[in-house]
Amino acid sequence: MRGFKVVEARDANHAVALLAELAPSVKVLAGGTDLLVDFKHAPHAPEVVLDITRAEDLKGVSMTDAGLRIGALATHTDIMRSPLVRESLPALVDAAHTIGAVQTRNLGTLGGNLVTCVPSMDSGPTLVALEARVTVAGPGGRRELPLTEFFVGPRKTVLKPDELLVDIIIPKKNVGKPTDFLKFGLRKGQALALVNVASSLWVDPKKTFVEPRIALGAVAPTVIRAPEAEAYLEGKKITPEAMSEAGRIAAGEARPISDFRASAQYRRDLIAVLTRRTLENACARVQDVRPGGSK
Amino acid sequence: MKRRGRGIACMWYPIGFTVAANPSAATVKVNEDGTATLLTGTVETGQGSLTVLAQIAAEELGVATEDVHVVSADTDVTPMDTGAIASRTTYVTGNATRLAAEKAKAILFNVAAPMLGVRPDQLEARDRKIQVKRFPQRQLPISQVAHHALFVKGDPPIGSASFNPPTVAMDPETGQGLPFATYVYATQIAEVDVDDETGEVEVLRIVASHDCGTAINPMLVEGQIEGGISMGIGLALQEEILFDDKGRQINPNLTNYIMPTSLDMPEIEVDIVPSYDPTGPFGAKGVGEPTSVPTAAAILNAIHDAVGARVHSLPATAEKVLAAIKESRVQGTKQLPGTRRAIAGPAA
Ligand SMILES: Cc1cc2nc3c(=O)[nH]c(=O)nc-3n(C[C@H](O)[C@H](O)[C@H](O)COP(=O)(O)OP(=O)(O)OC[C@H]3O[C@@H](n4cnc5c(N)ncnc54)[C@H](O)[C@@H]3O)c2cc1C
Repeated sequence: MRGFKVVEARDANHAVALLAELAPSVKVLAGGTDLLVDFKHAPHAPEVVLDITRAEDLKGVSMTDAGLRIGALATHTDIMRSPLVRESLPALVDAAHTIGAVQTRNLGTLGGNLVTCVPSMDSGPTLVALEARVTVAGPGGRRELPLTEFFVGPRKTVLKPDELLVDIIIPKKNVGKPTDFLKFGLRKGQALALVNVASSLWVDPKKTFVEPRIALGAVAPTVIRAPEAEAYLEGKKITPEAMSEAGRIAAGEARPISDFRASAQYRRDLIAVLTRRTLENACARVQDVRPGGSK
Repeated sequence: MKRRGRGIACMWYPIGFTVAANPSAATVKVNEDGTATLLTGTVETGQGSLTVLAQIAAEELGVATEDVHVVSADTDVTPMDTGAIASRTTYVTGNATRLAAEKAKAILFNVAAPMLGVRPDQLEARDRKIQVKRFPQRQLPISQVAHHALFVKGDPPIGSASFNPPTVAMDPETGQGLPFATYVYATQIAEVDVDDETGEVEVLRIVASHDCGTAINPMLVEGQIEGGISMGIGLALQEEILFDDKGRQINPNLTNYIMPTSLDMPEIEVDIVPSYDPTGPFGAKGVGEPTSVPTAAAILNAIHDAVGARVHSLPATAEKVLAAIKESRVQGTKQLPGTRRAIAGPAA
């Protein structure tokens, strides 16, 4: 690894100012669990690393007028320990729990996971199924966009070198929405997802699906929604057959690859099974989360 | 749905090859304070073999294990050893160690006999003392005897010995013969849950019953068995070196060469079968490699018991298991076991 200079940001605005000054030859450092691994293999490390870990305003989990706000610097452990998240969106805790090992979760941040943007990222599906939005700050000020638009491709987001990811917001209407996340890896500990899936849904008094949302990870260049499966379920009676069919439709919407870890066909089989199971589990959470379960 | 199954596998494994020279040598020196020093060429790789060798020397000399200082694996000073290979250390190096300690003890007995007014063959070494058999109150501390041997008799209590399981020529025509000095035996039973929609196999429990001759250190035997089972699980379900068409490894890292983690380990019950091999040190044989021999077979038999499908190549990855399940359904020749055996998992 080559040497590099480190500068520290006091807060988000300071970080943005430093980025404007130093871009493009600067890299933001959060937990470093992706960045430092990259440095080891990259032919050229950047000249300057901007350490944002002291920027308190980028941390924390809170309820705002817009919804549940998770600071980009919140670690996976912070998310698992947050009483707000545990109570209103336990699927986010389940997803965080599958990331790496304890040490990885203590250091790794939600922002870092989203910015690295590997297709198998374990934070992505649950947030996408909850229609999360992100705040990005740059020289021109702040803007907000849906998380699905933030992702561009494998290891590529809309962030420019002088921009910072500030926070992730789960819109108020989806806070408390019954949601479930499942990850399938090649072993129980420290595994990359072969497929990961999250589903969220409301149930109306007639026991039909309302606003079902299905997100698939590791089976396309970025985390994707499965809009056809969602449209199929909308307004349908909740039955095992409907959930199985939604799984089959979702499997057809993905674009998995064949590689040495698994064939594309096996990944499709997994999508169908995991989609059905996340739907079943989310339905089972309807009572857990909010009596009545509907909006 | 998760389906539960059990499988059994048995094995035998050879200890102490005799098809070629297979020697180990050791030197044991009894010091004037009653402690001992053992020189051995073998290498400790974390399995605890130096502890076992110290126990063997201590048992022969009648001292405590912590009284034995082991100097090992230094080619400048330690005697020759064929290697920490082939599950041979306890058996071959252990025999050399015991013989070396026996020689040092013979010097102590020759020195102590006139001091106690008996013949050397009437003596025994126990509890850091040399005492008259059946009259333990007639005794001398080993330290005193060692001191007397060195400074009065001029006969320092040192023994060197080597052990080489007798080399036996194979019949050149039939290839038959006695290629090993002794054999160990084991049976393992695996209990698994197989997810019949994803092919994922969870090993829940392994019961491992092993014969290793005398278990000189039962806790180390358990450790070897548990470690061997973790390797066996990797062999059964996960570990595979993959190559591209140019013969380069595709997965030369621990992200993609999948080994079991602590989270992948089942509950393990170890059963050490009492046995005694008269050719081993205090009846001991060995336990290292044999521990991972039956594991994969037991797990694959358990998969078959659970879902009626046979996987014929290792590792039985989830993808292969699912393919085998689908195939057995298509053939319809093998029925899934009845619902009585089926266990609904939380996500099923
Ligand atoms: C052993 C190990 C196991 C792992 N297991 C998993 C796993 O199971 N699942 C999984 O999804 N991931 C896993 N990861 C990947 C990694 O831990 C996560 O992606 C983690 O969330 C990254 O966060 P970080 O804070 O460490 O990011 P960093 O390494 O600090 O940063 C990652 C990238 O994001 C940029 N960045 C970070 N924060 C911001 C910000 N606020 N604004 C703009 N840019 C930013 C950095 O410049 C860098 O390019 C694993 C990593 C390791 C080392």
